[in-house]
Amino acid sequence: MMVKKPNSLNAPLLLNIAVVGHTNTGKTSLIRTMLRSTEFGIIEDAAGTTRHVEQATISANNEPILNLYDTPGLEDSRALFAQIKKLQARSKLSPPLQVLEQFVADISVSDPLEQEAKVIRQVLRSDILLYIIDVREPFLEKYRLELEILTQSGKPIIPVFNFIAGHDQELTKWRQHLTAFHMHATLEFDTVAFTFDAEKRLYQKMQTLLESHYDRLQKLIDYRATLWNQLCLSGAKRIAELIANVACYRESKTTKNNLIADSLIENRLHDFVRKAEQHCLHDLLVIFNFSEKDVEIQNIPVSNGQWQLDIFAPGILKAYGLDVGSAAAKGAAAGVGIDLMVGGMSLGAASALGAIAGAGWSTFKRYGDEIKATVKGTKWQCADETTLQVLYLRQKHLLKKLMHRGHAAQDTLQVDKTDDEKLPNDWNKLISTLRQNPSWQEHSAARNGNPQYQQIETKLVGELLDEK
Amino acid sequence: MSVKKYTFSDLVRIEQLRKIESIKGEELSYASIKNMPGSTSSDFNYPEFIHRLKIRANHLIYENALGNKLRQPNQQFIRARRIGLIIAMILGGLAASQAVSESSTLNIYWLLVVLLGFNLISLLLWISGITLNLQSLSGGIIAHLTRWLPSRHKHDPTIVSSASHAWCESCLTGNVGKWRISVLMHQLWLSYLAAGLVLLILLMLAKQYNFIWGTTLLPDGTLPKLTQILGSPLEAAGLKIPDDPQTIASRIGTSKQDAETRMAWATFLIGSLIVYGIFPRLLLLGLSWIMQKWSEHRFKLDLYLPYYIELRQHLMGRNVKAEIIDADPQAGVKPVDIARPPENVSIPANAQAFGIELDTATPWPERVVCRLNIIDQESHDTAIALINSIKTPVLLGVAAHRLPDRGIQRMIKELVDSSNTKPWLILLSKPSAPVTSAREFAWFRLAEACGIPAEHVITR
Repeated sequence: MMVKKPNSLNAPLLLNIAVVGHTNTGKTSLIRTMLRSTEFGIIEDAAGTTRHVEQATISANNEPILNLYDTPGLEDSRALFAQIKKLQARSKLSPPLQVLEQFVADISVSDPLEQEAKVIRQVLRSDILLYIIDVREPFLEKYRLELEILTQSGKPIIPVFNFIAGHDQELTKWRQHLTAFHMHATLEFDTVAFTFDAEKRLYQKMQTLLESHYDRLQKLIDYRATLWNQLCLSGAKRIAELIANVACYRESKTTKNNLIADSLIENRLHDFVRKAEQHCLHDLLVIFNFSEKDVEIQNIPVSNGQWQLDIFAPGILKAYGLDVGSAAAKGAAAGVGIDLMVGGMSLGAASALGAIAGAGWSTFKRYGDEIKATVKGTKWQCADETTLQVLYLRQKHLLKKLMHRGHAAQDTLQVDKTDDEKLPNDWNKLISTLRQNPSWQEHSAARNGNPQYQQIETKLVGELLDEK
Repeated sequence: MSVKKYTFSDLVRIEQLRKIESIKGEELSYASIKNMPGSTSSDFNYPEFIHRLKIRANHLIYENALGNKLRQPNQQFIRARRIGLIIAMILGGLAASQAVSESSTLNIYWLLVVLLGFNLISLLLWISGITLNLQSLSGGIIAHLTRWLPSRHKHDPTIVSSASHAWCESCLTGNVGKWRISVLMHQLWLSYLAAGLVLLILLMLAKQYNFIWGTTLLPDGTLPKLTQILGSPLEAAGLKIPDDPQTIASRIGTSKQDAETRMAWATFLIGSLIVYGIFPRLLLLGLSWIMQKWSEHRFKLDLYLPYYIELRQHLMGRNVKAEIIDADPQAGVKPVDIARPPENVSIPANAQAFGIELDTATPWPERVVCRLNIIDQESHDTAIALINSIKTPVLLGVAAHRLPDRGIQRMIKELVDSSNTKPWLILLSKPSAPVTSAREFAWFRLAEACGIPAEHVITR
């Protein structure tokens, strides 16, 4: 049978890792999560989803470090064990490794154990094995046999516990059973509820087992950490940008007591906030490499590019534990959601006086619009306090979810639930500063160079990434 | 290390395009960039990303004929600079001509104040502005004007206005802007001083002037002393400057000057203008120019902007390069379709129940007692022996939420084969583990493969 030589040019340098385990324990999921890609392999809730050996390379700064090999599941370990025992009995003096080699060499394409042979073949070609365990399963004889066969290869094995969330008891039992195999260096790595720390620990475990690859693995750990921090920072910065964008936004309102015009402005404002939030959601998905395609498949609460949950829908405020008793919040819940702010806020009027008194060029530059508004009797409308709070809390919640979402997750991302998300301490101060600077609505060099803006951004980003 | 494949002007064009796309994106045609090839590198790489942005921008600019519109702001800046330089030259000339009176006298300190005094004040402001990082101080009116220009809010922006907005943002603000404006300032002052100097030389070539000086407020000895101080570097350079008697002889109202005194004053004047005016300005111009180029070199796009986040995914989207190295010989073979067994199949009377790898939490229906739970080879062998010996119906219980694999299938097949009657399969479920329909069908498929008829499959 034709088996391609994996990347023969780089082979001596690269660390080859075989991901093995019983069928449907999450081998492909682990690789997807490690690659941060939803495209690798096929994930299905069925036996034998992966029936081939597939290789993917992980690199640090374009320098390949390791090859991951996704293998088919070991489905019939009893038959495999019996077959190997038979071979062993036949050639009593051969070392266990040679027996495995012989088994692989003897197998034919039509053999029922051909799938298992693929796994063993890859195991023999690899430097280290990641044995994936679904901790929800009881420790049956078949798993014991799998471990015995794999141990026979003489390769270091790291048992990786998957689906650990909410299964502490089962996890403890598994640990006890593995101790019998002298496997103490286990790892908890939930491919669905992902944490970067778990990934880091995985590489660190490999470092301890494979001294010769220590430096290159360290390089990878450092690179992945930088990348991860950048990713989270990008997400947080994007949300800070959204908050600034919405907080600084205002609509001028010239006609007095005209209900139609008022509701038009209101609609425009609602529209603006919704679009801004959708745009931000889209960018966050892009940042964390959860594509639009992914959204459709996994039913993240976005339909036709829209949040399933409308920020102005009644009940949202309550869900976020906001004070629904306040007049402003009631307005928000009823779909008004907007404060009427007169004359660009009090500072506008003060500055108008200042400008008239000849405060100078810069005052005019900053408050020119407000002065014009005061003269013309224009009012401004902007998104109210509660809207901004909901926006912030939702995005913070979403960011946290995305940061802990493995690329193998198939469930629906629920972003409507209340979490213990909190507003930053000086939220009011931050927002009122943003409101006073409508020119900060859009990105500009002047805005980003402004120390006050930088301070607000740093504060928001810090709070968004704070997981306490 | 990757080679930098872009210049500052490329970045400015990318920024201009960003502004245009964010405002008038729907008016642009994107046909030429539809089929841009994917990125070659597996990890994100800033120069590579910029290079690809540049290619994309060039395509879009060409396709939408934006070239002239994007170049316009820079051309306007160059034009404005030329006009500024001409005005500065005229002012310099005027200042020099003001120092010459009709009576063929040249007021030496007036000339120095007009040409060098203001220059000195502006120089001090510039230095303090640069050291304290206050652009309004270092750039003066020009900086104020240029900082205001991009912030001017246009209610109905056009492609041209967006392009110039973006140009101003990247070229006239921030570090690049600080040094670019500094360069402009030094150029203006240089042309002012150079025009003054050239005019003076021309005047002095064509006409004979007597050099005079006078003061109202200062004591009489101050200016001669100042002359000596200012002249010392010139003297060191071997030039002849007025000595004390010559200086005193030049005080307003004293007698006529000899040629030597005139020569000494002319040398002093031209020397001072060069050493204290033109030379430092040239030096600072050079420094500012270097700093401008340096900050242009260090200029980076803000990749945290939504626009770039989107493009980053689009242009640098990491496709995991996966390769199948040990293929499945049966790839593409689809499992046969299977019909759902009839509902409400009841458990046969007197059935002997056997569990297949059941955990303790999986419950059997009432009245059914599990005779043996098969968990390993030994219990499997025992079960086969038992099944072989009994004549009553055999009921095999499996945990419906678990996945039927080939191992389980073989085990059940062996049990079925050793049974005297057709055994029954019951899918047992527990509340904590919901069963999907796909999982149920996997069991139905197993039943069929093991020779258990559909009417012998009990779903609960």
